[in-house]
Amino acid sequence: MQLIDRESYHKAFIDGVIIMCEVMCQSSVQNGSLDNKSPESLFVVPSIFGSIQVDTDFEVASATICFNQTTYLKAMERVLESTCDTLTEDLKDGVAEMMNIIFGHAKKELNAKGQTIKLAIPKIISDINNSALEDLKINTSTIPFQSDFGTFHLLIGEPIKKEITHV
Amino acid sequence: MFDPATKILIVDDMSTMRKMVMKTCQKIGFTDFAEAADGVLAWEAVQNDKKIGLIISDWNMPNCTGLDFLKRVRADARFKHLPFLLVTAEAEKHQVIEAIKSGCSGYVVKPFTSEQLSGALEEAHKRLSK
Repeated sequence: MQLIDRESYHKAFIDGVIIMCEVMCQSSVQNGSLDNKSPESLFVVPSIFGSIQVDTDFEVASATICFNQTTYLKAMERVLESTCDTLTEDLKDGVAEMMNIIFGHAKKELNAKGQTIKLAIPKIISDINNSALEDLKINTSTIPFQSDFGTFHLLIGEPIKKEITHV
Repeated sequence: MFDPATKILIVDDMSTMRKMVMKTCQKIGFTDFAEAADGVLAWEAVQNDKKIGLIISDWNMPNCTGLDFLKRVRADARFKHLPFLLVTAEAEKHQVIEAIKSGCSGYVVKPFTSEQLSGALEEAHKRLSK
């Protein structure tokens, strides 16, 4: 049984964010240090979240990228190279694509080290009252990122061991 | 390299990604595009639009994945040689091998620059010209 090594796990996702930001948003980015608590402010201001489940044979975790709406629109202006004033339905799926790219990088890195992360499809949460956000307030670490278009966060749901049932 | 007049079918469930791929293709010089949000709609487009000369498809999509779509295209003799580029965020070795075995003309890993996409298209063109 191989459990996810926390340091490699965090690094794989941080590197994924940096690559995504540099290529997709054409922006340099600097990560801050990991905080073992999700800042309450993320769940108060109008924000948009792209979230994905990290599922291995033995553990389940999650990773979520979170922008306040103003920062997200600035990021999307860089992605699409056009003005983005309003958060339309069409624009919302960009956050899922960002998470998909970050996850793809992390999955490749971690699976090369023997993990068994399965394919997953990211989901978008743009309603601050969504019950899925409750899960992000517990057992989640936060890493802030400073980019040319503003500050955003990566929320890492720490891996939880699956219960193995013996028949 | 592909003729810039080639009509490209861009397949991705995320509209943002379709726009991004289109922008990148425009930078390379392409001007004619069709879009589809999944493999099922893309298969309809391929059959109905005879002008489509190149497919750029995402891999990880709900309903019908890019790989399933590729297999469907290659199973039809009319489209056996239609250039097909897969776009993936998860280029693990076993995936690349599976894509090539299934008849993919090339692949590019997300996120990509216009230079990287142009390079992947050039490679695909060379492979198809052999």
